[in-house]
Amino acid sequence: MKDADRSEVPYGTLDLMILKTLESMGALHGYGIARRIEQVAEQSLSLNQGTLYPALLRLEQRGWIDSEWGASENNRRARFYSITRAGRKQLSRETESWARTVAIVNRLLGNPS
Amino acid sequence: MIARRVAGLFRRRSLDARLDEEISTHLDLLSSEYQRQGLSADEARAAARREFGALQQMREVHRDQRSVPLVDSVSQDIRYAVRSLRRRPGFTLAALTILALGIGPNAAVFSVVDAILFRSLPFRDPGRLVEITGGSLHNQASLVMIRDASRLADYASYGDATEANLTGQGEPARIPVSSISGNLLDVLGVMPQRGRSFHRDEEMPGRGNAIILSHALWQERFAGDPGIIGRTIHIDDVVRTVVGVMPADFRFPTAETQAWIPATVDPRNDGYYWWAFSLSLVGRLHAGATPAAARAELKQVIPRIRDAFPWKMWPDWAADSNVVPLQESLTAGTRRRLLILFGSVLLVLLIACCNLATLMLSRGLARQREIATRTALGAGRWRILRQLFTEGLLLSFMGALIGIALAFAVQSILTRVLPANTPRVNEIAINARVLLFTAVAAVLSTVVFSIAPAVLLTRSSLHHSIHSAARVTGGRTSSALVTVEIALAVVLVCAAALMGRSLWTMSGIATGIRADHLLTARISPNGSTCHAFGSCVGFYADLLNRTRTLPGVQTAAAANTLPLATAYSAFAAELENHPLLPGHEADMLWVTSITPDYLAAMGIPILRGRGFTDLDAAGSEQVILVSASTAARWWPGQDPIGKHIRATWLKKSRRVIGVVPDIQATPIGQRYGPIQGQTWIPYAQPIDGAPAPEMTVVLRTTRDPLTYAAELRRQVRALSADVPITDVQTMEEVVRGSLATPRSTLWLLFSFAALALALGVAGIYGVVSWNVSRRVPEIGVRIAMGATPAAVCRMVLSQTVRMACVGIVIGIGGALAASRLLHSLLFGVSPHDPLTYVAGAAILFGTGLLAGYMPSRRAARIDPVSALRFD
Repeated sequence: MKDADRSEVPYGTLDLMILKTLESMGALHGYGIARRIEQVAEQSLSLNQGTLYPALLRLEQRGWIDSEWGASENNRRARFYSITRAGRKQLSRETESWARTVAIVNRLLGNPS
Repeated sequence: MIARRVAGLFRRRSLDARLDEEISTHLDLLSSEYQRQGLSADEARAAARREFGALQQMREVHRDQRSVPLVDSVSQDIRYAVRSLRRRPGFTLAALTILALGIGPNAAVFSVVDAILFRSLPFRDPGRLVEITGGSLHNQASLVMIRDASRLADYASYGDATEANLTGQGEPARIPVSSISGNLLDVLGVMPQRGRSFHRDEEMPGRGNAIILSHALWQERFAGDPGIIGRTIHIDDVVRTVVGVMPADFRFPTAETQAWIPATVDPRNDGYYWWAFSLSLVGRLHAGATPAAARAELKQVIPRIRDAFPWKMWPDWAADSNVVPLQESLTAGTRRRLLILFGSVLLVLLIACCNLATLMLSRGLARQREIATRTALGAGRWRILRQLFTEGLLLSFMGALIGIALAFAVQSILTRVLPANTPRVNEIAINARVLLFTAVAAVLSTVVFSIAPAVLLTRSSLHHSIHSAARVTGGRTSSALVTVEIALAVVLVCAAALMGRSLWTMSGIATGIRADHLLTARISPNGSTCHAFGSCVGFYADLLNRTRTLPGVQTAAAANTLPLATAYSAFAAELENHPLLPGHEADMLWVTSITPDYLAAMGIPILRGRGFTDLDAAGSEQVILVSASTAARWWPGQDPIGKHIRATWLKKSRRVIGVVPDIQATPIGQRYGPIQGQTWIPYAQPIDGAPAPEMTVVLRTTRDPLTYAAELRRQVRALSADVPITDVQTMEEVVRGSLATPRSTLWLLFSFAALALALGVAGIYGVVSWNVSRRVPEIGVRIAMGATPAAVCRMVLSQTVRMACVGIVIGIGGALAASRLLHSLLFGVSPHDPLTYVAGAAILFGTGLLAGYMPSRRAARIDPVSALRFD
């Protein structure tokens, strides 16, 4: 697949994607989160995997996710992230506002959803 | 969130390690995925790297994410400021000196003002304590009647600490003892550390042989004896039982007070109960009562006290009485003086700030290109302002540190020059409150001295500053700042000059005595010591006979008080031809009891009649001397000799036998109550009762009087081992001491004014020479066009003259306004004394011109050729 066919991660949606992934999959390490997002996007999304880590740190600083050490599939030490209660609340808020934003944009673009 | 970020600052290394580990696991997982897809190990690793993205950039983002951006950039600001200050050691040194000189004296003066005026009194709930002020309600009768009548407050009384003999406890000592009403400690809300306070019934005659010791006395004289309570000690020959020891920090009414005894309240002792106006009345307001309500209540009690007097008091007696918070009344004498000093030193700080602002400005203009470059590289205006402010703060705090060191020195001088009876002197210290004040002063100074330069510097637009020909000058701002400095310096110089004139006038006042070659010493025998000599008159006659024959001693005499003393005695008198009218106030006369040789010893001539001799003894006719102005006032145009004076409460009168010149009885510049004359009586013929045991001996000597001090002690010791000798000093020291307070105020004010003047002059010099160096090309052109050196010199000087004139005019206005505050401290000089102001203006103008002259000479010597190559 050529890079040109992939879209960049829309600004501000990475957090939402990470939270949703952790909510549905439980605890995951960074690689797992990246893989999961790419799977769901069916390779239509160009995720610069490195950008995940600052995002994870940001979410952790806000108390929306937690992390702890665990063992990865290849038996390396890996940091496993999981969503917190505050994170779930944030997720539902974000989901709602995302839906609203999408609806507004759709209406503006003339294709009522 | 912020907390996590701040924590991140300190865990930087461990967080970096964690990230690295996560990344390497990630890359491993990714490359094994690629290997599964069929790539070789190396290809897989490379593909993983690609997929992951820019590693280092991600690390940076991660690091930024976990840091606190402000702290990081502030620490960057500070590092930058340190570098920039280190690069210009000359500027930094000058700025630190200015700041230390501005802040140090402020910290010192604040420590004094805070301890004496601002900090609340060390008593329970001090805001409720009040004092009754005014000149009248200071006798026991008033205390008793007010105490019984008041529903709004509990009142108590204390007397000034008077010296008493402590004997039978090692070397005999004079200790200051205050006599207090039984309830005083309860009213103040202070309990003894050991034992008990006094009971009310200890005020009754014959019941009050108790004493409470100060912590210091207990420690020093009684070695902290744990069994002190119940011990008996001898105070002025009275056996007293120690009932309590006060805590170490209880120093009331003055720091020197060593013991407290219950005042004896005896209405039958007419003379004392009604006529001794020596008490201070303090009270504790009940909950909800205000000083104003207590005042109203007091006004209702006053007529009842007035009518109860055995002698009819005048109708508006005690009309000046008031109830004021104790904190105010205790410091009433020093408040104004201290606030004036505090204000002056704040002005010095303000001048220092202006001075520094001009310095910052001229340096900052030199830095315009640097600032412009930083702006061009993307630094916002706010960021640059913050940078300049950080530099200022750094300077201020370093200056404040040096200032604190300076403050310790200034403070030790300050406490030494404050009069010894200043309340709460012992509480003065450089403490946390002083440090806080200093920090606040440093921050405010920074605001004052760095705001103007910072705003001015960052306002200039980019291309202007990089293009060097069109730089912002800042010349106006600097001139304005220097003008302010001059104006403030004029205020301080004029204030110091007024105080100086006042002190000059005071020291020029004729005391009426010859103060040279006189030794004075306070001798305080007990009544029992006197008994051994028949009487105290006998004791002193013996002592004076022994000392008179010492080689080098011309005259030996004694008096109950010295001239210029703060303690004096007076009596209510009826003078011949002036019968007392019912309903009128009795006239008060100063009275000094003296031995026959006293007038000769002090160098006081007898103008008419005769002085006292040994024949004016207890049994002979009662006689009195009056001063010239007393005679002129009461018996104008008549011969005062042979007139009679009678103490109002006695039947027998005294005959005037001589007239002497007027003698300065009180410290110069101080007035005590309404006194209508000055008199002298023989020691052997006291106004009432027995001669007082305590006297001051004076010796007129041929050599340095202090060399006779040891011999005098030996002679006293030879008469009796139990007689304390205190206050051994020359009469010249007494005269100097009486001016100690105005002199110390003057010295402080004078040093602040000198500091202000120095800073102001430095400001003029700095701004003018900076202007000259900035205008070198222009001046070069002028000289090349034919301007003479004199003309150039004049041109540069004219700027100085403009700044000086405007500053002086504003300053004189300020000084005139400020002089109203000085009014009560001045003696013999009007606060608007024109000569002082002219002198102050002349000093500023002269020094200012001198400061401007040096750079103007430099301007005149500019070589046009090299000047034109300058830029």
